Amino acid sequence: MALSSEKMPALRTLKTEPAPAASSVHLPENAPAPPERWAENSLLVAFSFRCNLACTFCMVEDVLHAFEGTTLETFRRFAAQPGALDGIRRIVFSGGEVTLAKNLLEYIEFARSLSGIEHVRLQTNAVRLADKAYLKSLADAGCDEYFVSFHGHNAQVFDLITQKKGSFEEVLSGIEAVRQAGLTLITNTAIAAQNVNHLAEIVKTVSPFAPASMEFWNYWPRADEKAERGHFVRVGDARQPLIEALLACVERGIAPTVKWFPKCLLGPLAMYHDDGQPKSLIELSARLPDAKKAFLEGDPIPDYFEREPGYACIYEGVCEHADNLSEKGTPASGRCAGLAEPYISRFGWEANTLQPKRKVAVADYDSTMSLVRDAGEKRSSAGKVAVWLDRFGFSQGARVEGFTLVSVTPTQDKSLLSLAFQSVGGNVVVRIAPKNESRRAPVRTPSFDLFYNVGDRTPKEAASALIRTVALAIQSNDPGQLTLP
Amino acid sequence: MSLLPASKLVLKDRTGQTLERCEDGDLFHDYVLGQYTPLAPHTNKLRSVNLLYRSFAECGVSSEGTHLVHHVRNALGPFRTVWGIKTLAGKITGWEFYFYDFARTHADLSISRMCGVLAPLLTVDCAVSRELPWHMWSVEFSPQHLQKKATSAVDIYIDMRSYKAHGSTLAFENVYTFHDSRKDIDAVLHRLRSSVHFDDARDNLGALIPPWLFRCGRMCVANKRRADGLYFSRIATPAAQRFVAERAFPESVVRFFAEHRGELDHLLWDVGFDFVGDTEPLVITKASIYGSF
Ligand code: SF4
Repeated sequence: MALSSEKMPALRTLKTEPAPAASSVHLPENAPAPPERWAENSLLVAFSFRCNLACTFCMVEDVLHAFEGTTLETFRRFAAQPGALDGIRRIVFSGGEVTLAKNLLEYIEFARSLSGIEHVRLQTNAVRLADKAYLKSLADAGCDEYFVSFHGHNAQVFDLITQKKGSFEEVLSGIEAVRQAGLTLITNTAIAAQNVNHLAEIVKTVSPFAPASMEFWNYWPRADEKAERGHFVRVGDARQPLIEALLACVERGIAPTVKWFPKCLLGPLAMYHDDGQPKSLIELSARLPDAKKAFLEGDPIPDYFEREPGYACIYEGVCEHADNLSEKGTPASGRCAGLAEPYISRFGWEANTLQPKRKVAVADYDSTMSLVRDAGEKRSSAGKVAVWLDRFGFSQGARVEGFTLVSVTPTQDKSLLSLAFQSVGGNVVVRIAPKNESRRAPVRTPSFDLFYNVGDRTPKEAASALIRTVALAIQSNDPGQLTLP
Repeated sequence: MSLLPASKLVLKDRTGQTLERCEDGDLFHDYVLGQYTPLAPHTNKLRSVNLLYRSFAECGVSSEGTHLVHHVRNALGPFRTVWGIKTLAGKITGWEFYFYDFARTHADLSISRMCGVLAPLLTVDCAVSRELPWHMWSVEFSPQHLQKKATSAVDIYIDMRSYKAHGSTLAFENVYTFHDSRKDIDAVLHRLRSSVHFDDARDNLGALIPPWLFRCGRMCVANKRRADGLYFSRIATPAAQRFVAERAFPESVVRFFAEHRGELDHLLWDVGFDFVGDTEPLVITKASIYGSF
């Protein structure tokens, strides 16, 4: 058969060298404990997708104006639902750039007013935080945590990524204002092609601002479904600079967090891995029917939210770290989601690079490979009967002269085979035995003696036609020397 | 089990295609005739066989193909037969029906009986009369076979192997292994890495096992004479739709999924492809999709 010349998409040479052994990474003795897994007890409220920067790898750039944000009214209605905030201790406002929202203070005040809420966090680029009066108003309203995107170690790299000249200095001023105000600073650095070789330098740049934690999120390819934009770094290549950055953090007493990067490549630094994501109001709305209704009446949920990249790992069925990912995009805290699907499609599963922590023994090949586990067993008794009948043109369930062959019963010693026929009007049993010339038989073929038994109410003519047809079929296909099944 | 009332078979969609709709008591099977619970309420939604009918129409053998389905279903009863649509380089090359008998009683499914049943519509070249412990056999046919211009071959599946029947002789054909794609991934990787057609250092495993097919019901790795193959069972309709589009099935088959959006969400499908890479980087060749009736 001629073979198509159709090529597989995006064939790339795979790295075959395994990653350096995890044991080659040494954790300092005074390494800080992992930070609180904040995603577990946080609710994310999304603002409009608008921004005053334009980071090259940011998903918002693709969907500006796709989402007008959660209205305060919707947030209020949601929070009023029984159980909607169960287990939530932190409200996280995210965008776009949340500080562009004119009524942000009202959101913060409302969040602070909710029972059980201990922290209010902004995910922000910090450009506006340099305005100390503005920052004070945020803090006074109740915002105590500032989660700042910080993607470059110097102005050249930083401004290239944000696509705004001067943004590096603006953001440094913003985080300095947070430090001076004594508020909590957490930075978040995307791991992408433009900055991967500067991750440890970013730690050096940020550490004077006393961050409570530094997070490193591997590039998240929302709206880059084919991984065509060049932001991904092969995990085997990103591993070393990432480990250096994490070590730079722990040496400075800063607890780091890593997301969306294979946990198995971090060695002892895997304790800082956390793929957990906070529940989002939109996501929770979908699960609370009443809340969903309230949300839908207030704001349409854009299709865009359906386009979250999926994550998977080729070893997820055998790796102890793996998440079962029962809910797309929201791995359980502490679990590893694996690799983004666009990454896998483009670069492969990295099966030779990943180092699964095996929770089960390597599968016994015989356990599942065959659909039929008793392959050595020959035909069943019923199968042999079926083949025997087939020789004479019969099969179980066959219609013969107005009767149905309802059952065929052999004896174990092959001394008798009973064929039970039924019709609406009666029943006939034909018994077939090996030929024995020492006895009388109503019908005899070269190999068999045939006997029959006609039910009391069975019309005689119909029974005769049946018996004649059965006898003729056997007679004409019996060359002699046949046995019963 | 009652046969489908004839009246249900004459409904047509706007392309004029016969449409069969699910009834309350329908059963749903994957390509190894494993029964599954539909993913959503199914009554009055479409049966998977409608995709088969669409493929017959694509090849201009609508009435012959539909007649064959009805004929087989009349002989065996409903929900016992698995069908497959085969494509090569974007064209439908033919179809295959699969008859399973895991108990191996070989009663009403005996090859000779079924060849007799098929005889008015397909000429089948199989005269194997030996008792063999097969759990499945299949018959392939193309438009030419449906028009009785060619003789169909039979494949007999015993444990993990298949043999092609030529008259009363049998020639070894393929080896198949079935795996839980997640728990048994080491075996899958071993099978692929030992294939002459796959080179771990050269070929993209992510393209061979796309993430959207990876979490399937079961994965099957096949070694064939001139290619190796991978099959993914029990994938949901969006993945099946993506598969037929990415594997360049004919436009009318791809369109079927969009035309009947919302009427197929209860179904699971099975898909597979052959790949070749012995002399140059791996290419996917034949592709197929499966359902049951
Ligand atoms: S799930 Fe995969 S990526 Fe994550 S730790 Fe295990 S092997 Fe590594």
